[in-house]
Amino acid sequence: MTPPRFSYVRNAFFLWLALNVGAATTSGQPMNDGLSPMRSQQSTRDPAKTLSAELRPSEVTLGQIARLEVYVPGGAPGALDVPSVPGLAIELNSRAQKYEQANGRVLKNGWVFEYLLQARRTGTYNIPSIEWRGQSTEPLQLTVVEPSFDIERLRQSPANPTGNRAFIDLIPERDTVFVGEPFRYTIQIAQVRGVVRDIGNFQFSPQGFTLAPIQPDGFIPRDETHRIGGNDYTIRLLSNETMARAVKAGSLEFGPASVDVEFLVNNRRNSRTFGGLLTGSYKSASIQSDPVTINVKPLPTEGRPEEFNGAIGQFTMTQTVTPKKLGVGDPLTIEIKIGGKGAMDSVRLPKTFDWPDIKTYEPIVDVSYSDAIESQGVARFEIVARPESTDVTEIPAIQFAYFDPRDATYRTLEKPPVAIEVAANSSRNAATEIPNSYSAKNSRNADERLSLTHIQPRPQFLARIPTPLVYNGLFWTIVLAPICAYGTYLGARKAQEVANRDSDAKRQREIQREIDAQLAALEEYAQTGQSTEFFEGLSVAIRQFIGLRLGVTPNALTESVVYEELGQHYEDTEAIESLGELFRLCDAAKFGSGATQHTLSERLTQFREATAALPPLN
Amino acid sequence: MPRNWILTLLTLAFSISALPAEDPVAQFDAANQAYEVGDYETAIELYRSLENDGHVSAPLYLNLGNAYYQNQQLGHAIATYRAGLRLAPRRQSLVQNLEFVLDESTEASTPPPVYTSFLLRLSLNEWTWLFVLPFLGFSFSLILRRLPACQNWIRPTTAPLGALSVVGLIALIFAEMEWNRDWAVVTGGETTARFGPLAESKRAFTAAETAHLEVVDRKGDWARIINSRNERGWVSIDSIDIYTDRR
Repeated sequence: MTPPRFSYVRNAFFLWLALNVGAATTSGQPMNDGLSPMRSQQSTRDPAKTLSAELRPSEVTLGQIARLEVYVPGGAPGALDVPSVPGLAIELNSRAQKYEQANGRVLKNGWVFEYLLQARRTGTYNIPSIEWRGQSTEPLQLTVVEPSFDIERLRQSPANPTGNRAFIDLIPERDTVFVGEPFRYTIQIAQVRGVVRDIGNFQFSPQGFTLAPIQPDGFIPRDETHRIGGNDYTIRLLSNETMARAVKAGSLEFGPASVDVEFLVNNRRNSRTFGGLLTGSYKSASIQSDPVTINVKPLPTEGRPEEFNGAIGQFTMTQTVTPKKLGVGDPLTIEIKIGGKGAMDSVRLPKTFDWPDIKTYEPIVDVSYSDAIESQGVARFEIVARPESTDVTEIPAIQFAYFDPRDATYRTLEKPPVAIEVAANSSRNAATEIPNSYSAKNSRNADERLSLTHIQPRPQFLARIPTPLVYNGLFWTIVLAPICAYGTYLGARKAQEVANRDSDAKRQREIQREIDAQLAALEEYAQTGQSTEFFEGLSVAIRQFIGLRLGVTPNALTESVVYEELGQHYEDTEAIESLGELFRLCDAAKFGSGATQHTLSERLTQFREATAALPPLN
Repeated sequence: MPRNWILTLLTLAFSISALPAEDPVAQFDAANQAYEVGDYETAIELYRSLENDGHVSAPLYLNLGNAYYQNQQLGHAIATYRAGLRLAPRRQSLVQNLEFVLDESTEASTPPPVYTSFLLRLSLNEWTWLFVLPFLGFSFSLILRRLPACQNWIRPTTAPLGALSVVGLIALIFAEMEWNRDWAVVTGGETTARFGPLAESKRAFTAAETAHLEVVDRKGDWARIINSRNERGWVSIDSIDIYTDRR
């Protein structure tokens, strides 16, 4: 909202400006801004003070609206006198103030009148100059062409599920074609501006037609607006390149095409709440085009050449033969290129040529297209041939016939015979001279002879598909048996060693306990002076001790054994001597010792010291 | 009495073996005959029937692959040759025909990684023997070391045989993993791989006919595959030939 105070000032300013401009133009003098005399001269070149008109776009389709914008410098211009043009409806759409400034310079300061122009027929419309206060615009020209969209049909179309907010239209290039003849078609969607949010699930698979691949770009918006029933419709086009071919003759229905659209319902776009967008809701619906009937004519049988094998379109042919001098059985290559516009995959040559004394192989075919819908390109044929006689002097003429749907006639292209020289003796090995590309590509029969191993006569069936050994438990049992047996042997041996060690240790512990008990008894004998019992006990203790240390039977010990065996294992000769002395005393005591308590105690101490000096062997 | 039983059993066995419909060799010959006269569809039907009955061999896969090729079913032909190579990995005729058809297919043939080719060069049984033989040698060398008469000459062999066994075992583990991967070939034209196993799932990428794919998962009629560009997606099982299933 403009404040009232500012509105008053603004209106006063424009009133003053209009009076100034009016005074300047009615006097026939350049508009004087009162700043400098040169300014009036410059005013004709100053865009801010020059009457101008612009037409957008200058070329429209029938039914499409063009916009004419007339810029009037200054303020309060009143009404413009736009001349009428026969066949062209001109309607004032809006009038608005315009002020533009760039780099401190005023570019526009005035009013813009927008007119909507809509033609009733195709053609070129000249819009004369528009006069205003001594200034005039340049004449303009509007070109109106046939629409690519059937506006009239949409205008008359009953309401569809979207309430005529969106239409889909299918337009074939022609309504009469020959079988196999490629023809273009377009599919377009017209939608009320700003109403359709999403388009998807496009369905189009007409029965009896093959379609060239459709580019996956979806529906592309076009800069085109049509006014139908008070609504401005924008156009979306399904790909720029689409092509179809009929596969059978008859009156075939082409279409329909359908698409799902999500559109705004309860649209109150004039509402002041966020442009009305919040007051509407979206709904999905499928819209469908009207089916189009196409009359598909069969290819005429009259005048059909023998060489014709289904090619339709307009073609040219080139041919090269290399080498032209060769030996009998040597291969040569005939390269034929057939290029043009039409159904390129229908361009074929015979599999073999029935030429005398020349053996030919099935051609390699390589088709390259020059557009996305495969409607034009070049088919390259490479034929390998072998002359089998020196009588061969030429490669016979090659003919290619096609049907031209433009004038519904058959045409035959022919290349003249190509002279070659065939020598009697080939200097090359014919079997190795077939070009590599030939042995690798599409030549079934010849390739089979050259590369594909033929089928085998004997089946050599396997009795059964054996389970791989890696999953066979019995196999692994046998494989692991030796190492397991060896491991078992090692384990058993180790266990035996451990058991033996345990047994020795146990026995030694028992003997030690017996020795300890014997020492306690000896202590008692020494205190009570029982010398006979003392020495008997000491003898037993000495034998048990030596038997324990040396691992021998105690009863078999003699004095010499004591010295020899202990001497081998111990270096403490004093302790050995001491034990030997006790051993002798014990033997002597059998015949009566008569030792005192003190002597017995000393002998017991001597025994303890000697045994302590002889630790267990490792 | 026992003699009567034996006669009855022999007669029964002879009768069963004499049934013409059960003779796989005759069926194989009939398929070959159909192939030679150019009736490739019949030949394919007969070969497939033999395969489904469990009568498989490298020649059967070679002939079936040839029939597919002649019938212009390149995807099936490639899958069949590869299935044959699983039985006989170095069969020259299968290798040659596979290379021939691959060369002719429109899909650029991406060579498998070197280690994959190496591991598939030998059968799983051959890899097993490559481990088992040195391992048995190692086992017996350990045992013979205990015999005084053999100790001098057997002792130097133990360590090399042990090392060979370890290498063989590692190779066997990797070979087993490689041989257990599932592979498929696209048949019947270009197929669309989707992000999920549903026809409504969004399109991930397309695989051309004869493209070689690894199958990593399955769900119903869908298989999750990885292509040579390491792209992943789900394709309908009807559009591929999982030749590793022909084991």
